[in-house]
Amino acid sequence: MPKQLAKGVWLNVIPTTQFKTISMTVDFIAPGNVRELSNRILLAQLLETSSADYPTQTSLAQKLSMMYGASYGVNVFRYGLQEGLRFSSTIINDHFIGGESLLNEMVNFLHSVIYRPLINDDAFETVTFARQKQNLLAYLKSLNDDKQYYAEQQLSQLYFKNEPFFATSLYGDAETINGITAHDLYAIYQHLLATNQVQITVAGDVSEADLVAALTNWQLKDRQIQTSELIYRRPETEIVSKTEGQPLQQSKLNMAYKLPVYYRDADFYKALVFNGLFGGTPISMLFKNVREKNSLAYYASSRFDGFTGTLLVQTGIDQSNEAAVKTIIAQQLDTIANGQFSDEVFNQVVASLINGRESRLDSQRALVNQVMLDQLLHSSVSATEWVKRIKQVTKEDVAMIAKQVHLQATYFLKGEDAK
Amino acid sequence: MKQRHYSDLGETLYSETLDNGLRVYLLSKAGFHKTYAVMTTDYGSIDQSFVPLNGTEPVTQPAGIAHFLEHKMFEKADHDAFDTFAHFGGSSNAFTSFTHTSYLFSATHHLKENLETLLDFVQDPYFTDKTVNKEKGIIGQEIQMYEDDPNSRAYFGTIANLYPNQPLADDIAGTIESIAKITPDDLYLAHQTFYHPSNMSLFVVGRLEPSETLAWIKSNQTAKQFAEPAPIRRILPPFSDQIIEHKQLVMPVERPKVTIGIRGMDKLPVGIERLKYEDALSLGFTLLLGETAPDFLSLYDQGIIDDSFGYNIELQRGAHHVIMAGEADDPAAFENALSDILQHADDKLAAAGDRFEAVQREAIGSTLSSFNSLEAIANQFDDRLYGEANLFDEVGVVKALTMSDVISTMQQFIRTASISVQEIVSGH
Repeated sequence: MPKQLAKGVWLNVIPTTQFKTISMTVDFIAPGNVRELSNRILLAQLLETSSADYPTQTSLAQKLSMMYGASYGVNVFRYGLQEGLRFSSTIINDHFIGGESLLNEMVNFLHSVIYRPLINDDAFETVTFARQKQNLLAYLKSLNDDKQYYAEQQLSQLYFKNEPFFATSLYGDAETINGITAHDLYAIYQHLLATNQVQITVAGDVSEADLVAALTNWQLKDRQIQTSELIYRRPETEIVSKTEGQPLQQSKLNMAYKLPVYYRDADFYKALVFNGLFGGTPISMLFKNVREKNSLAYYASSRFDGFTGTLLVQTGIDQSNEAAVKTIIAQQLDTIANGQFSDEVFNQVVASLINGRESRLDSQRALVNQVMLDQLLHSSVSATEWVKRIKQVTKEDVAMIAKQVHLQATYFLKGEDAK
Repeated sequence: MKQRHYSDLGETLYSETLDNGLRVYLLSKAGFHKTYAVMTTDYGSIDQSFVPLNGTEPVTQPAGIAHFLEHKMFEKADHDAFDTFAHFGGSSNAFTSFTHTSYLFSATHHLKENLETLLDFVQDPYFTDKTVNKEKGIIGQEIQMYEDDPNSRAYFGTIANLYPNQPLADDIAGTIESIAKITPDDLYLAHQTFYHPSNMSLFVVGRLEPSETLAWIKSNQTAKQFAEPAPIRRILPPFSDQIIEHKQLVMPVERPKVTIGIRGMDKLPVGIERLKYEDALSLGFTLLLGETAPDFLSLYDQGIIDDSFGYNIELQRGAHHVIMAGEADDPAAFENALSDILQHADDKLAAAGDRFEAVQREAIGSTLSSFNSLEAIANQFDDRLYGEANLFDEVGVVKALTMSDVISTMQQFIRTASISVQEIVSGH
């Protein structure tokens, strides 16, 4: 059960002895916008490596090492229309390290890195700020060497060309980041700390009372509760496509479809089974037909995002096979829409999805994420309930979903001979 | 069934070697919903030359055959093993390294059926010209995908520089030319020799009851006929300490990438002493180049290294090395700075005593954390590399290490080691 520590500040504790560690996340969440996303990404880079009490990586690392290699990270997430800045840390359970309790130390450490950043005259300390900004920009550049990522990003920019918030990668936009100053970013951070919804989520061998006690000196203040609408319903657009040549051995064909079904809607579970059958599992039609039967690819898969109603397909193929692969992909959609798949493969997909959902109960990170998301949505669906709903999906349901899939964007990264 | 309790981990490991030689390990994890099983053969990409089981003459097979065999094991005359797993809700996969090939599944239901599927598909080869030729297209795409990946090129390029003209220098997947030569007979021969139960282990971890699980495995194995176990006869290339000191690869990258390989030429101890050696080396490098090291901060603040910098200690059958890698706008500065640190490792370690406790604690915590993950436990477990010792002994070994252990191990390693640099730069 969630506990409200102040208006807009929630604590969720998941007591479990399943893991050797205690994992804690502190999320600052607000309705997203494109500039804010890049601001948060630079904040994450900066706050992960420095604070007033731990001004260098060395001092930060020394502290974490002494806490038996406690992990500490800051990252940015986006669920539909919401964006979050996440501070997370994981420590070893005390009984594995001779009873030394690290819980208060971790909670105090997180407080220190969140609320006492490394600043100078109402701005982030300029040398560290400049170094981390430069590192982030360098990292953004080298991300393009990962061609799967690059192709996915290019497709996203085509598909969301009218929605820059969604088109921007979770590593940020270089131009925006370049323009941020140490002074502005500090003001933005102060505003974020004061106004964002705060969710503190802890999983491990602890109780809510332990956490409430450990958090007393955080003195979290009330804040306005903002809209927490997550779902983005993208309007249908003209089909767009783009081909780009690069000196590569393998070409990448990526496609984006609109599938207007949304997270936890009545049809959501049907769409999950559809995606599992289409390209979301190694027993899917894409894997079977593009890879196994026709030997055209090493990978060919699909992914469904219920927060934006998007279905994405990605393949790594030989440049000469673009047309053939497109045809096979379109055929698989038709085949599903016509209900031309066996009971056996359908049942296999359902069993695989159930396996995946139940397996997430064994991941501390997945547990924390699910609870955070449930809190954001003010609703929850237990694993048992989820499995029940997946089992209710029929072959006809899946065929009906396939009929709602509409191609919107195609991006082809074409391998060309190096000069 | 043997049973050993590790009190510092709160884990009890069950094990038994079956009559056919298969080594079985079972670890029950309270509270977990899924079970993860991995079946591993002591056979990887380097094992290209050997005397076949029941044979007399050595053969040399095409590079990439172990990985090719891994791909082809799934396909049977009338079904695909992926589908059989999926029928029971199991999710399956496989991977090949320089020295091992592993087949795995994870499942929250039907453990017995999924286990039987694993044992059956790994032990029942089926290859035809048609299925083998079809796979050449798929693996060809896999090879090309990695050819375009600068990080993969940097890593494998460095290994090739450290072990030129040895099987380690070949990519695990081989080349499009080498795999073109693979035939069904080659695959059968490799399977017959290296997939004998006496060359394999099975690790099952998660939701399970040990005696029931062992009974299922035994009943499956006793129903099958295997040849008499015989020692594996690998043909090793003559030892050579030759390395390639410097190599540059031009490919379109946004930023230069530098990888430094350090090949150990010292003779490794055996048994638990080897585990101790590995952990001492790991602590030593953390003291030199980890985030708590003053040199790390100095290079970071000068912009010579950044967050992309990392290093890895790798010990495997027949080889050991340390790989350091990062992106660098100035590769020469990166190389000079790191080689300078290695040259002065003795002095630097002598001054690092006050950080020893921190890196030791970090190593203990990191091993303990890995026991959260069924995959990490089973995949890291190696029951031959360290004699009677294994992953479960690691926390105890790290706790017992001293600063002087670290200094002497680092001296032993660095004194005779050879260093190679691989740069990846764009043409312009």
